[in-house]
Amino acid sequence: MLWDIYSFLIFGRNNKKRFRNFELNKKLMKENILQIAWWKWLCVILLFYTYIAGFLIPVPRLPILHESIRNLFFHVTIWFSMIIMMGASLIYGIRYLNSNNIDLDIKAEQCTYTGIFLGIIGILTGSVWAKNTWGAWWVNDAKLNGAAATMLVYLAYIVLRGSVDDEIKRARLSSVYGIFAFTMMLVFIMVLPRLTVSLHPGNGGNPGFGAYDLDKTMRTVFYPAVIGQTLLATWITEILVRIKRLKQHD
Amino acid sequence: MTNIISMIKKIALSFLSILLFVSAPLVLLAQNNDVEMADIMHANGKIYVVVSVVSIVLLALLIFLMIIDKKVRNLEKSRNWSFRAN
Repeated sequence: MLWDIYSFLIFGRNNKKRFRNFELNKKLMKENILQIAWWKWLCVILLFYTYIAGFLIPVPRLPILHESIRNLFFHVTIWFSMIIMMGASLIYGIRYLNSNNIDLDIKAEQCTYTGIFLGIIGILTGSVWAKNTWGAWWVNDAKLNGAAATMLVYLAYIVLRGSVDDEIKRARLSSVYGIFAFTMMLVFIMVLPRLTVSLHPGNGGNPGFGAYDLDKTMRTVFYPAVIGQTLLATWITEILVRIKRLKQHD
Repeated sequence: MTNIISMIKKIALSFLSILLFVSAPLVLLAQNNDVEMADIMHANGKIYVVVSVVSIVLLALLIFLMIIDKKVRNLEKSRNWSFRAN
Protein backbone atom coordinates (compact mmCIF):
# COMPACT_ATOMS: atom_id res chain seq x y z
CA MET A 1 0.00 0.00 0.00
CA LEU A 2 2.70 2.43 1.08
CA TRP A 3 4.82 1.27 -1.83
CA ASP A 4 1.91 1.91 -4.21
CA ILE A 5 1.53 5.50 -3.03
CA TYR A 6 5.27 6.06 -3.06
CA SER A 7 5.80 4.63 -6.55
CA PHE A 8 2.81 6.58 -7.89
CA LEU A 9 4.32 9.80 -6.53
CA ILE A 10 7.81 9.06 -7.86
CA PHE A 11 7.25 7.19 -11.12
CA GLY A 12 3.73 8.19 -12.06
CA ARG A 13 1.10 5.86 -13.41
CA ASN A 14 3.32 3.65 -15.58
CA ASN A 15 5.34 1.89 -12.94
CA LYS A 16 4.26 -1.69 -13.51
CA LYS A 17 7.70 -2.85 -14.58
CA ARG A 18 9.41 -1.33 -11.62
CA PHE A 19 6.79 -2.76 -9.31
CA ARG A 20 7.33 -6.22 -10.73
CA ASN A 21 11.07 -5.85 -10.18
CA PHE A 22 10.39 -4.89 -6.59
CA GLU A 23 8.23 -7.97 -6.07
CA LEU A 24 10.96 -10.13 -7.61
CA ASN A 25 13.58 -8.56 -5.36
CA LYS A 26 11.41 -9.19 -2.34
CA LYS A 27 11.17 -12.82 -3.35
CA LEU A 28 14.91 -13.21 -3.90
CA MET A 29 15.86 -11.31 -0.75
CA LYS A 30 17.67 -13.48 1.80
CA GLU A 31 15.77 -14.28 4.96
CA ASN A 32 17.10 -13.12 8.30
CA ILE A 33 17.42 -15.57 11.19
CA LEU A 34 15.71 -13.06 13.46
CA GLN A 35 12.55 -12.94 11.36
CA ILE A 36 10.65 -15.52 13.37
CA ALA A 37 7.10 -15.55 14.68
CA TRP A 38 6.27 -13.92 18.02
CA TRP A 39 5.64 -17.19 19.81
CA LYS A 40 9.13 -18.36 18.89
CA TRP A 41 10.56 -15.27 20.58
CA LEU A 42 8.34 -16.07 23.56
CA CYS A 43 9.81 -19.59 23.55
CA VAL A 44 13.37 -18.21 23.55
CA ILE A 45 12.61 -15.83 26.42
CA LEU A 46 10.81 -18.44 28.52
CA LEU A 47 13.54 -21.04 27.99
CA PHE A 48 16.25 -18.59 29.05
CA TYR A 49 14.15 -17.65 32.06
CA THR A 50 13.76 -21.33 32.93
CA TYR A 51 17.40 -22.23 32.58
CA ILE A 52 18.65 -19.19 34.52
CA ALA A 53 16.03 -18.87 37.25
CA GLY A 54 15.78 -22.65 37.53
CA PHE A 55 19.30 -22.76 38.96
CA LEU A 56 19.19 -19.55 40.97
CA ILE A 57 15.88 -19.39 42.84
CA PRO A 58 15.66 -20.70 46.40
CA VAL A 59 13.97 -24.10 46.62
CA PRO A 60 12.42 -25.92 49.59
CA ARG A 61 14.89 -27.88 51.71
CA LEU A 62 13.73 -31.48 51.50
CA PRO A 63 15.64 -34.46 52.95
CA ILE A 64 16.07 -36.92 50.07
CA LEU A 65 15.69 -34.54 47.13
CA HIS A 66 18.15 -31.83 48.23
CA GLU A 67 19.01 -29.69 45.19
CA SER A 68 17.68 -32.29 42.76
CA ILE A 69 14.19 -30.84 43.26
CA ARG A 70 15.26 -28.39 40.55
CA ASN A 71 14.81 -31.26 38.09
CA LEU A 72 11.13 -30.41 38.32
CA PHE A 73 11.81 -27.54 35.91
CA PHE A 74 13.52 -29.77 33.35
CA HIS A 75 12.30 -33.36 33.69
CA VAL A 76 8.63 -32.84 34.54
CA THR A 77 8.16 -30.09 31.95
CA ILE A 78 9.48 -32.46 29.25
CA TRP A 79 6.73 -34.94 30.13
CA PHE A 80 4.10 -32.19 30.16
CA SER A 81 5.12 -31.05 26.69
CA MET A 82 5.19 -34.69 25.52
CA ILE A 83 1.59 -35.20 26.66
CA ILE A 84 0.57 -31.95 24.94
CA MET A 85 2.27 -32.99 21.68
CA MET A 86 0.50 -36.36 21.77
CA GLY A 87 -2.77 -34.51 22.43
CA ALA A 88 -2.11 -32.33 19.38
CA SER A 89 -1.41 -35.46 17.34
CA LEU A 90 -4.75 -36.92 18.51
CA ILE A 91 -6.62 -33.75 17.53
CA TYR A 92 -4.99 -33.62 14.08
CA GLY A 93 -5.79 -37.31 13.61
CA ILE A 94 -9.46 -36.76 14.41
CA ARG A 95 -9.53 -33.70 12.15
CA TYR A 96 -7.98 -35.77 9.38
CA LEU A 97 -10.70 -38.41 9.73
CA ASN A 98 -13.30 -35.62 9.52
CA SER A 99 -11.89 -33.80 6.51
CA ASN A 100 -9.58 -36.23 4.63
CA ASN A 101 -7.08 -33.39 4.26
CA ILE A 102 -3.68 -35.11 3.95
CA ASP A 103 -1.90 -32.05 5.38
CA LEU A 104 -3.49 -32.74 8.78
CA ASP A 105 -2.09 -36.26 8.66
CA ILE A 106 1.42 -34.84 8.14
CA LYS A 107 0.93 -32.66 11.21
CA ALA A 108 -0.33 -35.58 13.30
CA GLU A 109 2.64 -37.72 12.24
CA GLN A 110 5.26 -35.07 13.05
CA CYS A 111 3.60 -34.27 16.40
CA THR A 112 3.91 -37.94 17.32
CA TYR A 113 7.57 -38.02 16.28
CA THR A 114 8.37 -35.01 18.46
CA GLY A 115 6.39 -36.57 21.31
CA ILE A 116 8.35 -39.82 21.09
CA PHE A 117 11.61 -37.84 21.08
CA LEU A 118 10.53 -35.94 24.19
CA GLY A 119 9.39 -39.19 25.83
CA ILE A 120 12.83 -40.75 25.32
CA ILE A 121 14.49 -37.67 26.82
CA GLY A 122 12.01 -37.88 29.73
CA ILE A 123 12.83 -41.53 30.41
CA LEU A 124 16.59 -40.88 30.29
CA THR A 125 16.45 -37.84 32.60
CA GLY A 126 14.03 -39.65 34.92
CA SER A 127 16.44 -42.55 35.10
CA VAL A 128 19.28 -40.30 36.23
CA TRP A 129 17.02 -38.67 38.83
CA ALA A 130 15.82 -42.07 40.06
CA LYS A 131 19.42 -43.29 40.51
CA ASN A 132 20.13 -40.36 42.81
CA THR A 133 16.93 -40.37 44.87
CA TRP A 134 15.47 -43.88 44.78
CA GLY A 135 18.82 -45.66 44.42
CA ALA A 136 18.45 -47.47 41.09
CA TRP A 137 18.44 -46.61 37.40
CA TRP A 138 15.11 -48.35 36.96
CA VAL A 139 12.75 -49.16 39.82
CA ASN A 140 9.71 -51.35 39.43
CA ASP A 141 7.38 -48.40 39.61
CA ALA A 142 3.95 -48.26 37.98
CA LYS A 143 4.65 -44.91 36.37
CA LEU A 144 8.05 -45.91 34.96
CA ASN A 145 6.74 -49.11 33.43
CA GLY A 146 3.72 -47.18 32.18
CA ALA A 147 6.00 -44.66 30.48
CA ALA A 148 7.98 -47.47 28.87
CA ALA A 149 4.76 -49.13 27.68
CA THR A 150 3.60 -45.78 26.26
CA MET A 151 6.82 -45.50 24.30
CA LEU A 152 6.27 -49.01 22.91
CA VAL A 153 2.69 -48.13 21.92
CA TYR A 154 3.92 -45.06 20.04
CA LEU A 155 6.86 -46.92 18.47
CA ALA A 156 4.21 -49.30 17.11
CA TYR A 157 2.65 -46.19 15.51
CA ILE A 158 5.88 -45.61 13.56
CA VAL A 159 6.04 -49.27 12.55
CA LEU A 160 2.41 -49.12 11.42
CA ARG A 161 3.08 -46.05 9.30
CA GLY A 162 6.14 -47.63 7.78
CA SER A 163 4.36 -50.83 6.85
CA VAL A 164 1.57 -49.31 4.73
CA ASP A 165 2.50 -48.04 1.28
CA ASP A 166 -0.78 -46.48 0.23
CA GLU A 167 -0.82 -42.87 1.40
CA ILE A 168 -4.52 -42.56 2.19
CA LYS A 169 -4.79 -45.95 3.83
CA ARG A 170 -1.72 -45.14 5.92
CA ALA A 171 -3.18 -41.82 7.02
CA ARG A 172 -6.53 -43.34 7.98
CA LEU A 173 -5.02 -46.32 9.83
CA SER A 174 -2.54 -44.22 11.76
CA SER A 175 -5.19 -41.65 12.74
CA VAL A 176 -7.38 -44.38 14.19
CA TYR A 177 -4.39 -46.00 15.88
CA GLY A 178 -3.41 -42.57 17.25
CA ILE A 179 -6.72 -42.32 19.11
CA PHE A 180 -6.10 -45.74 20.65
CA ALA A 181 -2.49 -44.86 21.51
CA PHE A 182 -3.45 -41.63 23.25
CA THR A 183 -6.05 -43.43 25.34
CA MET A 184 -3.47 -46.07 26.28
CA MET A 185 -1.02 -43.33 27.23
CA LEU A 186 -3.56 -41.73 29.56
CA VAL A 187 -4.28 -45.12 31.14
CA PHE A 188 -0.59 -46.01 31.51
CA ILE A 189 0.81 -42.80 32.91
CA MET A 190 -2.23 -41.11 34.47
CA VAL A 191 -4.68 -43.76 35.67
CA LEU A 192 -2.74 -46.92 36.58
CA PRO A 193 -0.04 -45.23 38.71
CA ARG A 194 -2.79 -43.63 40.76
CA LEU A 195 -4.50 -46.97 41.37
CA THR A 196 -1.41 -48.91 42.45
CA VAL A 197 1.69 -48.18 44.47
CA SER A 198 4.03 -45.61 42.95
CA LEU A 199 7.04 -43.64 44.10
CA HIS A 200 6.05 -40.63 42.06
CA PRO A 201 4.48 -37.74 43.91
CA GLY A 202 0.73 -37.52 43.43
CA ASN A 203 0.42 -41.25 42.69
CA GLY A 204 -0.50 -44.29 44.75
CA GLY A 205 -1.60 -42.32 47.81
CA ASN A 206 1.46 -40.06 47.80
CA PRO A 207 0.80 -36.38 48.18
CA GLY A 208 1.48 -34.49 44.95
CA PHE A 209 4.21 -31.96 44.45
CA GLY A 210 1.50 -29.34 44.64
CA ALA A 211 0.66 -30.24 48.23
CA TYR A 212 3.67 -28.72 49.97
CA ASP A 213 6.82 -29.14 47.88
CA LEU A 214 5.82 -26.94 44.96
CA ASP A 215 5.86 -23.65 46.81
CA LYS A 216 5.16 -20.21 45.41
CA THR A 217 8.67 -19.46 44.17
CA MET A 218 8.88 -22.77 42.33
CA ARG A 219 5.54 -22.17 40.64
CA THR A 220 6.86 -18.91 39.19
CA VAL A 221 9.44 -20.93 37.26
CA PHE A 222 7.54 -24.18 36.73
CA TYR A 223 4.59 -22.84 34.71
CA PRO A 224 6.69 -20.64 32.38
CA ALA A 225 8.97 -23.68 31.94
CA VAL A 226 6.03 -25.84 30.83
CA ILE A 227 4.95 -23.20 28.31
CA GLY A 228 8.52 -22.71 27.06
CA GLN A 229 9.17 -26.42 26.56
CA THR A 230 5.84 -26.88 24.80
CA LEU A 231 6.58 -23.96 22.48
CA LEU A 232 10.02 -25.43 21.72
CA ALA A 233 8.41 -28.77 20.85
CA THR A 234 5.89 -26.92 18.66
CA TRP A 235 8.70 -25.07 16.90
CA ILE A 236 10.59 -28.27 16.11
CA THR A 237 7.38 -29.91 14.94
CA GLU A 238 6.59 -26.95 12.69
CA ILE A 239 9.99 -27.20 11.00
CA LEU A 240 9.55 -30.96 10.50
CA VAL A 241 6.09 -30.39 9.02
CA ARG A 242 7.42 -27.75 6.61
CA ILE A 243 10.27 -29.99 5.45
CA LYS A 244 7.80 -32.84 4.92
CA ARG A 245 5.53 -30.54 2.88
CA LEU A 246 8.42 -29.34 0.74
CA LYS A 247 9.31 -32.96 0.08
CA GLN A 248 5.73 -33.75 -0.86
CA HIS A 249 5.31 -30.78 -3.20
CA ASP A 250 8.63 -31.41 -4.87
CA MET B 1 -3.69 17.49 61.46
CA THR B 2 -3.15 15.19 64.42
CA ASN B 3 -6.02 13.09 63.13
CA ILE B 4 -4.28 12.55 59.82
CA ILE B 5 -0.99 11.68 61.50
CA SER B 6 -2.66 9.11 63.75
CA MET B 7 -4.44 7.64 60.74
CA ILE B 8 -1.15 7.27 58.87
CA LYS B 9 0.37 5.65 61.96
CA LYS B 10 -2.50 3.17 62.18
CA ILE B 11 -2.25 2.28 58.49
CA ALA B 12 1.51 1.84 58.71
CA LEU B 13 1.17 -0.35 61.79
CA SER B 14 -1.47 -2.54 60.15
CA PHE B 15 0.72 -2.92 57.06
CA LEU B 16 3.70 -3.86 59.22
CA SER B 17 1.68 -6.42 61.16
CA ILE B 18 0.35 -7.95 57.93
CA LEU B 19 3.92 -8.13 56.61
CA LEU B 20 5.04 -9.82 59.83
CA PHE B 21 2.27 -12.42 59.74
CA VAL B 22 2.82 -13.19 56.10
CA SER B 23 6.58 -13.40 56.31
CA ALA B 24 6.78 -15.39 59.57
CA PRO B 25 6.30 -18.82 57.92
CA LEU B 26 8.90 -17.92 55.27
CA VAL B 27 11.42 -17.11 57.99
CA LEU B 28 10.70 -20.47 59.66
CA LEU B 29 11.18 -22.25 56.33
CA ALA B 30 14.48 -20.50 55.69
CA GLN B 31 15.85 -21.57 59.06
CA ASN B 32 15.49 -25.29 58.30
CA ASN B 33 19.23 -25.65 57.74
CA ASP B 34 19.73 -29.29 58.71
CA VAL B 35 19.03 -30.46 55.14
CA GLU B 36 22.21 -30.39 53.09
CA MET B 37 21.94 -28.14 50.02
CA ALA B 38 24.46 -26.55 47.66
CA ASP B 39 24.68 -23.45 49.84
CA ILE B 40 28.43 -22.98 49.36
CA MET B 41 28.00 -22.95 45.60
CA HIS B 42 25.40 -20.23 45.94
CA ALA B 43 27.49 -18.33 48.50
CA ASN B 44 30.76 -18.14 46.57
CA GLY B 45 29.01 -17.51 43.27
CA LYS B 46 30.22 -20.65 41.48
CA ILE B 47 26.58 -21.32 40.55
CA TYR B 48 26.85 -18.42 38.09
CA VAL B 49 29.55 -20.37 36.22
CA VAL B 50 27.08 -23.24 35.77
CA VAL B 51 24.30 -20.88 34.75
CA SER B 52 26.45 -19.08 32.18
CA VAL B 53 27.64 -22.34 30.64
CA VAL B 54 24.09 -23.67 30.44
CA SER B 55 22.84 -20.44 28.87
CA ILE B 56 25.60 -20.49 26.25
CA VAL B 57 24.64 -24.06 25.32
CA LEU B 58 20.98 -23.07 25.16
CA LEU B 59 21.80 -19.99 23.08
CA ALA B 60 23.81 -22.08 20.63
CA LEU B 61 21.02 -24.63 20.26
CA LEU B 62 18.37 -21.95 19.76
CA ILE B 63 20.48 -20.12 17.16
CA PHE B 64 20.95 -23.46 15.38
CA LEU B 65 17.17 -23.91 15.39
CA MET B 66 16.70 -20.37 14.06
CA ILE B 67 19.16 -21.05 11.22
CA ILE B 68 17.28 -24.22 10.27
CA ASP B 69 14.05 -22.20 10.35
CA LYS B 70 15.62 -19.64 8.00
CA LYS B 71 16.82 -22.33 5.62
CA VAL B 72 13.37 -23.84 5.42
CA ARG B 73 11.89 -20.39 4.77
CA ASN B 74 14.36 -19.78 1.95
CA LEU B 75 13.49 -23.15 0.42
CA GLU B 76 9.79 -22.34 0.62
CA LYS B 77 10.45 -18.97 -0.96
CA SER B 78 12.45 -20.44 -3.82
CA ARG B 79 9.59 -22.80 -4.57
CA ASN B 80 6.96 -20.10 -4.21
CA TRP B 81 5.37 -22.02 -1.38
CA SER B 82 4.02 -20.13 1.62
CA PHE B 83 3.58 -21.77 5.00
CA ARG B 84 0.96 -19.25 6.03
CA ALA B 85 -1.15 -19.62 2.93
CA ASN B 86 -1.88 -23.25 3.66
